[in-house]
Amino acid sequence: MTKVPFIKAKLAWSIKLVAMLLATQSIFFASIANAELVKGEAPNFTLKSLRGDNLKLSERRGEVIVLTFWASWCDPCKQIMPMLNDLYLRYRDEGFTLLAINVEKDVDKVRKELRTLQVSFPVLIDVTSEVSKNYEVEEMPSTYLIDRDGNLRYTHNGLPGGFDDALTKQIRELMAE
Amino acid sequence: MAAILPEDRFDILYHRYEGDDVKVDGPSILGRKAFGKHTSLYANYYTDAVSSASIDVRTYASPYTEDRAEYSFGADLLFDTTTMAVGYTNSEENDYSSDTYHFGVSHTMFGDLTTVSLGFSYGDDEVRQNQYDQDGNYAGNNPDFGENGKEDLKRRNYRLGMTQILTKNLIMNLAFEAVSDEGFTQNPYRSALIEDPGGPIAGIASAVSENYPRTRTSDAFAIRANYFLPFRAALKFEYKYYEDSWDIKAHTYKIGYTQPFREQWFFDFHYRVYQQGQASFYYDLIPQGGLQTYRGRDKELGQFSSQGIGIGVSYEFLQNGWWKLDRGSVSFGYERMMFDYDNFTDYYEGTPGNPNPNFGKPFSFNADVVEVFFSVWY
Amino acid sequence: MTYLRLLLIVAMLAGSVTLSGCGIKPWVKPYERANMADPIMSFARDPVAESYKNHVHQAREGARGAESGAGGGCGCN
Repeated sequence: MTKVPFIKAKLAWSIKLVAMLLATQSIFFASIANAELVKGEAPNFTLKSLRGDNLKLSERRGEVIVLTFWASWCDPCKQIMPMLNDLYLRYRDEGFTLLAINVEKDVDKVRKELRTLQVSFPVLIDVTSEVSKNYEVEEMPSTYLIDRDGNLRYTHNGLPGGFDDALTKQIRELMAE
Repeated sequence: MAAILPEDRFDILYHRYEGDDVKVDGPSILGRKAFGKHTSLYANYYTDAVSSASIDVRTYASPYTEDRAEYSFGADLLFDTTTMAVGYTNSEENDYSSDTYHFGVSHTMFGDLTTVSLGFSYGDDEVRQNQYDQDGNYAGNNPDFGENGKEDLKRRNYRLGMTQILTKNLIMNLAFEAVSDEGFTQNPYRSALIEDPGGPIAGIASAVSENYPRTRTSDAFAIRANYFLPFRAALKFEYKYYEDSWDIKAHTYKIGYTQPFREQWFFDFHYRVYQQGQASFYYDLIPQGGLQTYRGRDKELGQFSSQGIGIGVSYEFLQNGWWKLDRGSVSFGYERMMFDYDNFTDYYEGTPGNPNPNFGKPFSFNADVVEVFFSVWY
Repeated sequence: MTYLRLLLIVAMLAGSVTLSGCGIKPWVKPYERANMADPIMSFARDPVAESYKNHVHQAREGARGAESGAGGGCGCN
């Protein structure tokens, strides 16, 4: 076969393919209303913990609270669990608590996961994803620091570099207030 | 942090292909382990023990057996949202040696909804021709084959892929791969057939040497989609289009379904159809006086279609862990393949007391493919 | 590599990179990725078996390339 018509045919094919690709991506171009999570009062919630009792955020006012959103399929979320557990054990008697909010619906799977993870802090289940939406969880793990007055002070989306040190520093800062 | 390393696991597989009086079986052992948070290493040992009395062998050659051993190892390196993969594969049999080097990069973006990947492979093969003594035993390689007993084949593969999560239940993958071969692209033993009244092949033909072009470039485009059904099952689709510089065009259609049962069982079903048009230099029977520069009679370069129906069952055990293992599973897969050649004629006459009833008809055969494997995760 | 292939590579990368830089928030939230992370949704749940199947197809058919997809959505973040 001669070269030029062959290349032209392939070019037409590739242009169609590229157009199809870009069209597929563009379908999801719909801009999503993006209300920024205003630094102010941390959205209140009541969630059931794995131990069975209900936990209400506002009842914890007066304590420094760290909220972390995680899932059993999220490897980075599980990687930070030992570090978070250490922080919890270290500061829990000084008016500090850590709440891990799991975003899955399969409670048995979460329980199984925790058998290997072995953490002491309360694990809550956000069955309806309501709390995840209110906290605008865009990445996982998402970690939020709430001060003694119930205000949202720091947020960490994902696991940026120096996460461990930054988190410890911020906890100490909020506890000193 | 977005991308993750592949999971740590160890698999021992037994594979078996049987069809057209060809039997190929052997083990495949694959082990993978992560070291630290950024590196995952793997190694694979694979062998094929071949015994063949295929249609070409029955028509003009002698049955043979052969062993092939393949070793691969590689690493995946993870840096935040980018993964780099490198690998090496070596394959050895008494008439073919092959070295392949792989390199790939993949990058997740867009909240981890999109993964784009690029890959490149370079292969360097050495082709030789076996000699056999009067008793049919292997007697080394033919020193007069090619240049100093060897021919060379270089292969280059370029891959581009994109995986996109479309909805919480639908994921799609687009893949493109261009392959470029240069060197000895044919088979040292196969012959083409030319019309020859009274000839040695069924009294109508003679064998004549094949001659393939020394380059082959091809493009393949594939699209795949997996859809999650609300009662926890997965529906899978695949379409692939292929074309190359030998004029072969092919379509592949595949549909699959995975149904888990309780927490330990997985059932897979699939149906696959492959349709191929012939290479420009393919001849079932070269007409008398019509010998061309390029000619070949590999039925896999002819016009044909194949269907495959497959099932798979997998059972997970040790779900609560044991010693250093997180879990284990045992799996079984079976596929029935049916090949129908439109322009490859069965010229095998059969034996004196047992003539071939399909002589002169388009060739077809069925094959059974079996996989049995045992896996552990740690 | 031919002009065609280079064009395709550039176009696919440009398409994805441009869109990722547009500041569009992911429409499937991380807490909605449970189904994607299910092993049944994987393109190749058992790599050892998948590579064997691909080998059988390559050996018995004329086509080669673009076999079973890479990447996938673990749904981490």
